[in-house]
Amino acid sequence: MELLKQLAPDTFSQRLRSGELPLRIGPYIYNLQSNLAPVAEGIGTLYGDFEIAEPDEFVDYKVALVCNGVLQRLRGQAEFLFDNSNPFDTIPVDQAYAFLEWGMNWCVSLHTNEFLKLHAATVSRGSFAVIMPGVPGAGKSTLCAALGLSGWRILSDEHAMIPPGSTDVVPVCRPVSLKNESIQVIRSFSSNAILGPLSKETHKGIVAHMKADTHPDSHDARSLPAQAMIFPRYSRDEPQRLSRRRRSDSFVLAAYHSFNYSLLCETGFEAMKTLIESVDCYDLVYHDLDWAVKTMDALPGLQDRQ
Amino acid sequence: MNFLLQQLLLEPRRSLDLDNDQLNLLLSQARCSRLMGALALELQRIGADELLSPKVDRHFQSARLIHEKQKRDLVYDSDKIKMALDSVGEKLVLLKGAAYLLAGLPVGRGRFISDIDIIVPRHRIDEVEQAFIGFGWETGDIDPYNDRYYRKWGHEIPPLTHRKREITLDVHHNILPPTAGPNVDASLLFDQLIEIRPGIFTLSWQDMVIHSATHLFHEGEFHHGLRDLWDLDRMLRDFPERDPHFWEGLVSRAQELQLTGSLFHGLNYSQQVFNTPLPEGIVEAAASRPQMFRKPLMDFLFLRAFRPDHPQCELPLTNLALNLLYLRSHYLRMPLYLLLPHLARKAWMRRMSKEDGA
Amino acid sequence: MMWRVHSQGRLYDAGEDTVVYFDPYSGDTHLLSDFAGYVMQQFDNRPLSTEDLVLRLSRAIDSADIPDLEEALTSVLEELVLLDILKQD
Repeated sequence: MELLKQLAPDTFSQRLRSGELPLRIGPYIYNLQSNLAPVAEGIGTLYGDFEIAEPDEFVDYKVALVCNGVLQRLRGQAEFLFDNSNPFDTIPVDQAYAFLEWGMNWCVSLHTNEFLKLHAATVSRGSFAVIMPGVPGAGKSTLCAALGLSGWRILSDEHAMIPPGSTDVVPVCRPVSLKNESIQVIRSFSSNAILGPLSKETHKGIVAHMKADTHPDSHDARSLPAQAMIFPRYSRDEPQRLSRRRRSDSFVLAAYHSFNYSLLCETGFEAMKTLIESVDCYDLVYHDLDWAVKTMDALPGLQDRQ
Repeated sequence: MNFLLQQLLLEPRRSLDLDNDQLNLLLSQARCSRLMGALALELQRIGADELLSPKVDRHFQSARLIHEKQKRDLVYDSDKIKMALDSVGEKLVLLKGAAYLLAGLPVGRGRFISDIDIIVPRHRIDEVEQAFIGFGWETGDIDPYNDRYYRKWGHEIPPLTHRKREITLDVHHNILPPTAGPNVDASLLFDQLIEIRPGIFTLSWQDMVIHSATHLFHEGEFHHGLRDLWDLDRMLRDFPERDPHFWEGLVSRAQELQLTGSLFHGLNYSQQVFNTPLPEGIVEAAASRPQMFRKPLMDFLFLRAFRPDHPQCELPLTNLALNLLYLRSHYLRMPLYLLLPHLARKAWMRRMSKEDGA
Repeated sequence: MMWRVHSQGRLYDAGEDTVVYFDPYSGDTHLLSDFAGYVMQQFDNRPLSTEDLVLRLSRAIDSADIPDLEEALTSVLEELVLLDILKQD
């Protein structure tokens, strides 16, 4: 087994340029290609501990972020390619790294349906896994990053993947996406945060990604049983609280935050029912990260499963 | 790499002999050509889904689920569309993908749809549009230039979307725009409808083939060229079994609709690319003398367009061929005095909107 | 007045004042009041009249909770029709 960081720097950049860099990421293999410096820098910083798949393995997603031709080079533009075709508009080179990460999310969001996929961060402590669905801006990624810097294991910042009929979460650990103020918040929260390149002026503002696989078990592929579903919400104006919520409307809200609940029809309904019946559901309203992490550490039932 | 998606579609069992590199390529080709669903169902039909590695088959399974969901949604959405049309006393006549799926035809097996196409008589189009608006459909943001263009020169009104369902409905009054050259008398299409569910109709088998060929060779959507040709192949294999007189009347029906040119190309390329079994002499019967004369040039252009939309499948000069076909399809749709301003305007608007978006 | 389901749905009842209902016909998932959920449970792919429903519900529901059962039922049935879960014959 060879890790990306074990490649000599020249070999790494040569393989990235020629698109011979298949990485094992959760249950999938992504093959990466890029001729852009920020992308190489980002991958080097954030994916160093990922395993390189064997050259003859089946690749799930072939993605590239490349700048082709004189015109694109002059304009400082690049394009994201999936299976050699470009599903999006061209991208300014200085946003390239953020786009690579979004593109990689997009592959999973759009193309796999063997799991019920929730738009959620998932974290675990011992064998206690927590699913945190959230709309953009709700603070799920910030909380996820802070937990990752406080002894929790990050299973995913973006996708909670539940095999239908089970209560398990399948890890797909990729970097955590931080936006705008969150970047500084996380830097001040811990000096251990490892951040990739800044992408400026994207449609989401400034974006940086944090290395997520810093827990000893980060690359353990086994799934973990979900014990709680928490809907985080960042708010300065309300008192901080952790409060129980009803399962029925947690069901509907989680379904709303799902990429494929509706596509899966009855299977989706039954999968969500099985999941919701087995987790405790909470709202978490917070503005102080230290408080939020302490509250998570004290979740009912967590101590028994450490 | 010595294989192509179309060979696998015809002989799905061969996918079991592919190594991982070849499977990677196959998946890319199938996704780019929008034939992932069709290939997935062909694999399942011969039981190859259980023999492929689950890591590979999960991608095909995902395509099967998407297709299944589209089929189910279509049942509901066509009921709703029918209600709106009922309110103004019009029949629901489905075209293209929606018709294939809802009729349960082999051509609909694994076919993905991106919108629902229907046709109504031209003189009812305003009433029909108002009815849809009353039933929760709306015209999306369309700039006045495009809106005018659609209404004046198009064969459909600007697409409608449903507020809740997030689907697009294309309401046509003809299968070709009035500017296209052939002057199709759309009222002929309504004489031979087939009822596929109570109160829901499709064009006749022959008209479906002729329409599909017309769409393929007039719309300029050559990036789905292989998919559209696969549609034709599936229909040409299936319909003669549903109607023993299918072949006899096909060419004369195309003549009646003034669409023999499209039918000729459709039959010709379906046979060349997918080995579609055709009765002897039918391609020649559909061809005019100038077409037979131009055949080598057209073969050069189209056989490039019908390869999967994937760089590794490109023959030399593929891009040139695609551009020429794009011009050709616009040329077929509009008299020349219209062609130049429209293309110029389109190119300009495209650039503007990309720059706005960036 | 007869009422029937477009397609028999699935219900998730966690014992709260709302239930989750999956409607296979539209593919939509609805959060229904427990009362509406109870009404839906009465349909087992067969049509029911308003009178049938009143009779069935009056056995199970305390009249102190819902004083005018028929009126409450009618408004719930109409909402279920609007959601495309039920249709009227």
